[in-house]
Amino acid sequence: MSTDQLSDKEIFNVARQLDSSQAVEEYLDQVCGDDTGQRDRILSLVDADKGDSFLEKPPARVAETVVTRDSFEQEGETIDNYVLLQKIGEGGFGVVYMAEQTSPVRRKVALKIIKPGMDSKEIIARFEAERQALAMMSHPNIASVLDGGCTPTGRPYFVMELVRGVSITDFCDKKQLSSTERLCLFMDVCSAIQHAHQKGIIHRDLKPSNVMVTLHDGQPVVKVIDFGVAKAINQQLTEKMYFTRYGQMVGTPQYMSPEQAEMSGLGIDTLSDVYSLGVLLYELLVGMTPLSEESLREAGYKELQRLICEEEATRPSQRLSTSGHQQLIDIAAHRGVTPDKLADEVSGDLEWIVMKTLEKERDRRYPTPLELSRDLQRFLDNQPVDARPPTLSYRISKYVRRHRGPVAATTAIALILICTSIFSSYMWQLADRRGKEAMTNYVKLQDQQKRTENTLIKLQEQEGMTRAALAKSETLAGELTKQLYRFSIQETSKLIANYSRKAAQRVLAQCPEAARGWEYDHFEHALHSTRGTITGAQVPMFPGRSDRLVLISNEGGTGKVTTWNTDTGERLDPSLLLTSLDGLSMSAMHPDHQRVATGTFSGSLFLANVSEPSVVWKIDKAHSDRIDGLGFSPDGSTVVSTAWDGWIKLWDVETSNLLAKRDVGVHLRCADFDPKGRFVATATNDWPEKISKVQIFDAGTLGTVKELSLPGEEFRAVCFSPDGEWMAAGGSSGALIWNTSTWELQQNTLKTPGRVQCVRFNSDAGMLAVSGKGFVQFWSLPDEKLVEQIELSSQTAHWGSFSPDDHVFAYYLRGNDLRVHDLKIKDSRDRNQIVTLNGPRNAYSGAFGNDGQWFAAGGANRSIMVWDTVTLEPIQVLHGHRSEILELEWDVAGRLISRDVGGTVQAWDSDGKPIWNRSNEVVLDDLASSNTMAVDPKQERLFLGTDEGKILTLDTKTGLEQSPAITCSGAITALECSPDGRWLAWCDNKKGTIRLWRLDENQQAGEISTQAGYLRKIVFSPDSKRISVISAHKVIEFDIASSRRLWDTESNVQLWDCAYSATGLRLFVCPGGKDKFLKVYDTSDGSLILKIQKDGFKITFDPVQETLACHCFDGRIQFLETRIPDRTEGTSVTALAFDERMKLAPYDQYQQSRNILFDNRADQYPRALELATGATATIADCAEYELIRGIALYRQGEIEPAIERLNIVDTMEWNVMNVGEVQQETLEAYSHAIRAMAYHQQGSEELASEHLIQAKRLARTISHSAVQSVLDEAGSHVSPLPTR
Amino acid sequence: MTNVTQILSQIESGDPSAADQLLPLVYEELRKLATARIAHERPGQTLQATALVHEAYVRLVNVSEARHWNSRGHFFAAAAEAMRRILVEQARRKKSQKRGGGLNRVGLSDADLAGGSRDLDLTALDDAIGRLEQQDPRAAEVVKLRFFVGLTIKETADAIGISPATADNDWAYARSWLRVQLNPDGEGKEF
Repeated sequence: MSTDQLSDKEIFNVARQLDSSQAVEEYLDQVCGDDTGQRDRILSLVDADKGDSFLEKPPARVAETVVTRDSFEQEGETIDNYVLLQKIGEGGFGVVYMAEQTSPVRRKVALKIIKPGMDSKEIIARFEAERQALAMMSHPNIASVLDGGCTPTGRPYFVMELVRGVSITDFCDKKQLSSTERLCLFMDVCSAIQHAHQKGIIHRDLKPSNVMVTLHDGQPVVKVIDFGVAKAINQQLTEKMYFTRYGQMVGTPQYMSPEQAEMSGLGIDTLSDVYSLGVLLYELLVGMTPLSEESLREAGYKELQRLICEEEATRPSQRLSTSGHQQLIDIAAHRGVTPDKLADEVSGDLEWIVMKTLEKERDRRYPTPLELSRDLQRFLDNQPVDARPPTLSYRISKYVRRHRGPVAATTAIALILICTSIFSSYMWQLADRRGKEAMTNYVKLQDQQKRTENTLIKLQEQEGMTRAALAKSETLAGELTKQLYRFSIQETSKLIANYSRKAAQRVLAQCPEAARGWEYDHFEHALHSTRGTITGAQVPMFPGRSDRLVLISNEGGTGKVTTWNTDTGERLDPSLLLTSLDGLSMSAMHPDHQRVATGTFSGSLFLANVSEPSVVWKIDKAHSDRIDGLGFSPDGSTVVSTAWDGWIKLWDVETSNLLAKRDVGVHLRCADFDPKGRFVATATNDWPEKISKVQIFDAGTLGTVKELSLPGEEFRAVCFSPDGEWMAAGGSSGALIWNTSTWELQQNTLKTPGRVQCVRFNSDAGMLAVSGKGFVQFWSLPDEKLVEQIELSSQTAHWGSFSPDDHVFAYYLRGNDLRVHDLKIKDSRDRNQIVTLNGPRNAYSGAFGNDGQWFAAGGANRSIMVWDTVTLEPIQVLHGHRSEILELEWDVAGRLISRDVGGTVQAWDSDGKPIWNRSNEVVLDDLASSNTMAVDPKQERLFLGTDEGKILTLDTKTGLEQSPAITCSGAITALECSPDGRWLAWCDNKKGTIRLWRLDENQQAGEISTQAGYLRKIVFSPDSKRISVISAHKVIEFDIASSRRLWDTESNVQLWDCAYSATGLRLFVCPGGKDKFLKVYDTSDGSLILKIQKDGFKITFDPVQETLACHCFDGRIQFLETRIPDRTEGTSVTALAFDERMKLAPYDQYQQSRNILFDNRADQYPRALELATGATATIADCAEYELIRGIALYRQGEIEPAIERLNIVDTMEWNVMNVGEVQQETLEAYSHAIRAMAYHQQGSEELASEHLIQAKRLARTISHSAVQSVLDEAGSHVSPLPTR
Repeated sequence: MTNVTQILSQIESGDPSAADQLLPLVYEELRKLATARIAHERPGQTLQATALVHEAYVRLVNVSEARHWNSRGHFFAAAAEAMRRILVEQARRKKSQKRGGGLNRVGLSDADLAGGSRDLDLTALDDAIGRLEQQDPRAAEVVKLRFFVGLTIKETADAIGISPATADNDWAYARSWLRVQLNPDGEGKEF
């Protein structure tokens, strides 16, 4: 073989890549020449090159191997004093038998024989060493370890109390125990471990299979087994063990604390058990361990160590949300709740308790199982828990630490260099609460910076590496900036919710500039706007009469007195009162009902006259901190003030002189003056010590009269009964009442579902109102019966007042609602009236128009209201629709187009006059399909999707059809036109395929497959380049040009609506009913920036003013604004108020009239006729309006016209699209019954009988009480004649 | 510095005898590892050569010290050879057992060859690799790394210090060559 000849390999490697055997042969002919041997060899090699898996799989894959070890002990065998009866279990360490002890006593025990391969002598020695301590343990929840020894084959065994039960996790799942029941069992486990720790025993191997539950007299009893065994076996995650005993260890690493997993072997102590308890608690709550068994099994040794020691546990609620759908359903089913409920239960305080237990650093965990158990008890009692979300500084230091390894030191430097400024300012402003910890971290980081700078110099020599690391660090820094921003925004949101405006301003100012988006502007606006939520207290006060309510509010730094008529819900003319306020904190009314004392956040005190608005006197810095309590003496000569600065002070009302003062030295909250003039009372709170008392002082000298306290109770409210006999106080778990002569506690705590903010006696002390987080309760006294409870879900009722006649209770909710609850009328319709905002519920539709200057909303009451968004004054009320309004759009020329559920599309000009309408274009009975109308932003045209699978183009000037008319494959579920007017996008199928149409080219332009199912909403980004869609639970964003999915996110709850911000950098997503959070996503990566608590179902965004309108379930439409509009007069609400004119909407008139008639309120019959006539005058030919008018006419004695009216209705077309309303059949049955009576009165018995029979026939399927009653009424006059 | 790390460093600095010292150490370690694993593996678990070799590397080599030189390549070369010996030895023993040879208490005797290589006669393959080695040592090296250690083409190329394209060519050639050798019914002939 000559050297210039090509080798076999070279030829083969060309030949194998030729695509036909002919080509191969031709090639070989050329290169091999007449060397046929080589030619044959190559040919057989090419033949053998089949591209299969030959040799691709390594041979050393060892399948399941059954190694027969020396034989195990057999049942029936005797070991020392024990006869093995039955094998009852097998675990990693060994086999467990039920055995019978033969001497000294005959009893059944559990015998655990350790598997071979462990050092028996050592195990026995260690066990003997601890035996004494083990014997000391005596606890109902601990299975005692009785004995230990060696089998004849030399294997160690342990003898334990026999526990017949199942593991705690199995037990809970089988019994479908609720979270609370699980916590109770778990607390027994804590108690057992606490006991063991006190005896010096650490369990070391806590896991579900070592925590059994047995039934004792039908009651579940926890038994912790295997104490001392782990210690004896000395199980540690050592490298040796990993390799030699891997199989035995599996099942345990999930519960192993980081210090147990660390090879360095930092001593294991009681805190390791606390960690394992945390894992157990986690599993009990969400059915999974923080680290999954699979991830641990797949991990190599180093990875395993890293996972246990470094990988931050996923929060339980997050773990749930990332688990599979079916898995989630199963987990929830085991707890007897829905997945949503479960996620709800494990989030919040409970979650932080779990996370605190699972801290990687020991000293951040609960110091003892007892402390853990106590915190759980506090959680169960709705008290504040010790566990808190980790602080920012801690999280960042962890972040830096986590990422330092992989990208070398440079990352840390870059991060620190970039973020130091952010850090230091953070440190400064969080110094109050987190000072020490933050500073330590800061110093550490600076240290690190120095060290890493040195490293950098070294690293620069290796340029390539450094560059790569720097690039990576930049990405990380960007990520960190985003995280910081998100955190700041969330912090700001929390601070605002706590009225900490100044702190919120400081945090907001620290937001990294590069990351600022819509929510920054929104909060900036909320914090500096002259409008916005009413700050400070809104103590509702009755000025001596029950139909008036006085409020002091702070609007843009100006105090305002507002008086309300509680009967009509009207706000009487507001009047300016005070100047330069910095936030109101408390008000109290003088016994003369003319004057009001008001305190502020900064400690200023005012006395104001509310009947002739003026400031009587004012004391700046009456206190150095927030005034939280005010009360007048019964004679009106003295006012008491209490404040967070620790002082209680008495002031002369006439002269404003300080009469007495006393430094109590702790936080003072509410205050009240004894109506007999003897005492003043206040709730005190010693924060660091967590001691809370109700303190009673002498009303003259402020000398201590009495101090009252109860363990665990944190008091916030005190109140004397009007006769001075009783004093009530509100704490963290309920309200308590004392006798003011003996200071004896009168009864047990009146239990409340949450923290109490306010207690109030009614005038005869026969009732106590208790309000707080999520509730208002009314207790009758002295029998302590809960008479009524108003559920407020997550809202807090801060302050309330009984009206002088005790008929109503007014209370203020955080936000800006004042609610007036009527205690006498039991009709649910009149309950919980929101005084400030009396809108129609279900404002399904809304739209901004006229460059954001106007906002229109319409909904269930079939009328549309248009507001000026600057003054918030209503401009127009549009009547005409005969069913609920689903969609509104403003066209490019300022016309408003509305569509109702009955399929009518109506256009209105800018003066609110109807221009044209088209009926029955779209008939959809599904309210969800309320996104099928879109206007062209450039041309005067409208696109309308129908359920027949068509898209019509209508001229908005005339309502006439134009081209294109697009035929689709099914009903249109969502339709949208892009802001640049080039694209039309819609969904007409259940698979969620988006169809795209080019409007400028007038042709179909492709489609995007979302695979998300039915699409509810499609929105275009402002630059018309991206598209976001909402399906049932998902939001997905796509790039239009490439059809590429950019990001998506899934929610636990149904999603209803979404909108882009003006920049397109944010997407607002509005969930359906259950989740009360409006979510703001960053569209660059789909991360969640902010959750805003809003009980809404629809959102509308105005790109001009960047205002987001949120339609809430309670009927309000709230504006979340980012810009301060130029305005002359402020108003107190950010929400739109539906004014009087809206109350006169035909539909409301019809409803009110119908209610009067159906309830047989005879005195109001004239009003009913007036209302019905009004409704028919505005909207003619509406069957139900005419029908009600006919009934009203009859009730007014106008028999002839009544019959005529009702007969006409028979010929009219009904609008059957009423949602949740009184049905057509009901009304018709009623109408027939009325006509029966009317004809009877006219003497036409035959007709009367006919109508009565008709009425009865219709009524057969109706269970409406009004129909029954009118039938009875008619039946008493008319007797049915036999039918001919 | 551990023994193995030291040896790798010597190889790196051009000591030709060092490579000979490396093999027994790696062989011992892999044997121990495999034995321990097989003896204690949970039912249902399988064991991968790649994982074994990687574990051995982590255990034997001080990674931070060894990072700057081509330690992995040398190590893998030794590991491939060690793995080949272990597996072939095991296959031989198995054959002899079938013929009524003595029972081995623990060890690799129960290891089963699974997956795509189930039907392979390892001893015959080893013999064939031996022949390939004489003809084309580099291709044989590629086979050992790919087959016995389970390295990817890229890793194999890195370990030997050739380009991935060359490694791929060697691999394709070796595969075909060995298949021809091992397939007596095919058209392959002795040459």
